[in-house]
Order: sequence, then structure tokens, then C-alpha cells
Amino acid sequence: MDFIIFLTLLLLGYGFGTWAESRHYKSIEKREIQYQKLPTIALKHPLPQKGKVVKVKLASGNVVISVDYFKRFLAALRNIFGGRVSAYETLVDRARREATLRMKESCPGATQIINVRLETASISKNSKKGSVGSIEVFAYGTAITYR
Amino acid sequence: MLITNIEMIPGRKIVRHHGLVSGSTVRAKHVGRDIMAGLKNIFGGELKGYTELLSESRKEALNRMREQAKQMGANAIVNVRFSTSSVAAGAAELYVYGTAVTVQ
Amino acid sequence: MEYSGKLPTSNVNVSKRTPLQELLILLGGVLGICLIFYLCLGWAVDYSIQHISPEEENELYALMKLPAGEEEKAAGRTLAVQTLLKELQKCAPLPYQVSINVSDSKQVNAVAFPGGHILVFSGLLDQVSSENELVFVLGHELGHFKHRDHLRSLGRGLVLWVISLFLLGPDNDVGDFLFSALGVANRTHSRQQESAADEYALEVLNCHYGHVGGSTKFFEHLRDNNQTPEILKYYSTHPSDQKRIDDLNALAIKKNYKVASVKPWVVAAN
Repeated sequence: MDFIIFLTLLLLGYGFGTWAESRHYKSIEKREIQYQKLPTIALKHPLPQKGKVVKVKLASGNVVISVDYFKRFLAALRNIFGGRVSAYETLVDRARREATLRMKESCPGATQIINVRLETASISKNSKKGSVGSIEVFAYGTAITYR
Repeated sequence: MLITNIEMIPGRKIVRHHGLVSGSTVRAKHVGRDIMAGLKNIFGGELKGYTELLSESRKEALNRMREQAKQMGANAIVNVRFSTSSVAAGAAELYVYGTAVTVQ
Repeated sequence: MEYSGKLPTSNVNVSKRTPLQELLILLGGVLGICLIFYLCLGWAVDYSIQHISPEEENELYALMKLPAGEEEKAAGRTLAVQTLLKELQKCAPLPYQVSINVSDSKQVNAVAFPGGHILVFSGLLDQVSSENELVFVLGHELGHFKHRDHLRSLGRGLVLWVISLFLLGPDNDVGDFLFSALGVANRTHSRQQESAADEYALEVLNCHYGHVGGSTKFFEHLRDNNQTPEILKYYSTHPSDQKRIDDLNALAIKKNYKVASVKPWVVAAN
């Protein structure tokens, strides 16, 4: 009985997880193209730009994403052998790109965002040993608007 | 109040330094959000409740830092850094710190 | 300086392998390792069992509480079964002090407990049509003692539990999954034990009566009363009744056992 519940969860996790992931990636790619022309850099000094600075603001965006049951199981299996945990690769990739996009969306009209920092924190449901499951990515930088 | 995470304010000149200012807040999630998160743990996807919670908490920490800078007579904070640490199971501390300055 | 704003053409941070491929590879690895572990430790258990004397076993199990079941009211039947067992032991020399009790239950079954204790359910006694049939069932349980299957299954269960605990810690989804997967292998092993016990019972029967009449009666009755769906056989700890009947008949022919008329099972009602 327990095994049936486990299999159901695994299948549900795989189905919904894959669907949600591909949908999320589509949305990320669409928005990345939209913000393609906004310079987003990790340098401490702004790119040379004509015009006068009219606005300086701390831009930030964050997101908490959870991994599905199937990938969690996969990662637990991977824990036995060690090596590359590819199950979590898409999780962190999606979270970082989403947070960066939200940071860009938080400052409409900005000319450039400089000194971008990304911070990752794992959010565990309970303090059980190293259960990653969901992560938070927080992206922040200085948005400068020239005119 | 101007806040940046670089060492200057573009287009302005720093005339006085006031020293380190910081703001922090410890927040715990509530049960309702936990139940939703439990479901999302099966299906995967964004935990909107947690995203909002953390972003509100950071806003609060920033406001506290702003308040501190105001009391010191500054009108801008530069070189701001954020840090997150989990204090206990289910509670997180959000900490923000920077240098309070006066700009022209 | 100019900002080009070109997007990367492929995602370098994500592996090309799909999660399903990954799952298959990992599952294969885990199952392989567990199987090797399990087989090695299983052999170790089988080996060490030979070195546990029945006295030590008795002492070991005296520490545990075992279900005795509700004693049957009709003491006459218990006495008759006990007498029968005593006679049987001449044919089946065992290093145990075998004791037998009748439990008041509708179940058609008998159970061999560690320490040489057999529990017969009264449902079985109600059902048997001849003494030979009963002797066969008792011989089957004696066969379990002879092969020390009760220790074996206990040992293997322990091995399985230890593996899961070592690899994954307690309360783990993966552990539960492996447990049910290896459980199937364990059941195959258990079916072999049942067949071996059947064989022993046939020998006892032949020794006691000089023929093996009535040996298959018990399973024939079970087969006619029990309709187990075909698919569940995989999960069964015992071989199917038909297979056991066929095996017994084949064995009787192979060993040149005679078949003669059976002795009725009558107990004076009291």
C-alpha cells in the first residue's frame, strides 16, 4: 500500500514537474529576449553612457522554487553514489534566471543595472539532514536611469 | 533615501561618511503556507507564499536600516549587502547592511 | 565600450541527460549493489545458522514473547495430536524438544515457531479427512525445523533491514521501495523452503505408514476452496497448491513410494 502511494507520488511528481518546468523555461526565455537590451553587469562601475543620471535605485527580485517528488527521489538515489546531481541543475538554473528577470522587472525604465549579486539559500521544510527540496534565489543590483 | 550596492551614488558626490548601518528581521512562516508548500513539494514549482514572505521581510529589514541611517543624519546608503541565515527550523533571519553617507 | 546583449545559444548549466535515463541508471546500480549485498549476507546467515545449537536457540527465544494462541477446549484432540507427534518423531529425529498445541481458530493452518513449538489451528483438525493427511502437515512443520527455516527467514529479514538502514537511514522512501523490491526475492527463497519441507513431510509419511497415501489430500482441499488470482502468485510465500500436488506426485514416483488406502482420523468426542 505504501509502495502504491509512493509510486503515485513519483508519477505525479514526474508528470506535473516536467510540465511546470517546460512552461517555466518558455516564460523565462520569452522574457529574457524582452530584456535583452538592458545592460546587466557585475561590474562596480557603470558603463560609459551619455546623458545625466536621473534616478538611482536598488533593484531586487527573489523567487522560491521547489523541486518535485520525482527529482527529489532521483537526488536521494544519487546521494548513494555521489557525482553530479543533475536532478537539481534545472532547479537552481530556473531560480537564478527567474530572480534576475524579476530584478530587471522591478525597475522599469532603467538604463543599466550594475554590480549584480545573486544570493542562494536553501529552504528546508524541517531541519532534517540536508533535505534541499526548495531554494530561494535573491538577485540585487543598482539600477541607474540616464536621460 | 538613495540606496545602492556600489561604492558611490552615480551623478552625486559623497561629502560625509556616517559608518555602518544595518537592519534585520527574523520571520517564521505560518502553517497555511506550510501546507501549500507541502503540496508543491510533490509537484514542484514556485512557492509563491514563501517568495512573498521573504520579499516582505527584506523590505522590512531595508526600512529598519533606512530608519537607522536617518537617525544618523545620512541621506544615502552605499555598498549595501544582503545576507540570509536560518536561525531555527522554519525561521529565517534577513540581514541587510551598508555604509550611511551624506551626498550633495 | 558597448553592450552587445547577446543571449547564449544553449544552456550549459543543465545536463543533456533526461531525468528518466538518470533514474534507470541509478535504479539499476542500487538494485545491483543491494542484490550482491543481500546474497552475500544471506549466505553468511545460512552458514552461521549451522553453528547455532538448538539449546542456544531455545535460550534465545525464551527471551522473546511468542503468541501461544487460545487453547482449544476439546483437550482430547490436543492429546491425540500430541501422541501422534510423539510417534512421528521416531521417523523424524530432530535435535529439538518438539511440543505441539492446538489453538482455537477457524484458520486451516499450522505454524512452526522457533524453539521447536508447533501451533495447530483447530480449523485444520476439523478439515482433515484422514490421519495420513494430518501426519503430512505435521511432517511439513517438522521439515521446517529440520532445515531451520524459521532462523533463516529471520536472519534474512534482519539482513534486509540492516542494508536499508545502512544505505539510507530509517524512514526513507527509497528504503521502502527497495524493501518491497527485495521482498519479492525473499519470497522466492521462501517458496523453495516450502518445497523442501514438503519433501521432508513425504519422507516422514512413508516412514510412518510405509506408503504415501493421502499426501496430496490437504493441498487438493486448499486448491478447491481457494481461488487466488493468477497475478498474486508472484507475491505469494507458498508455491501454488496445484504445483505442490504435482511435485509431490512426481517425487513419490521417483522414490518408488507406494500408495495405499488411508487411515481415518477419528477422535473420541468428549
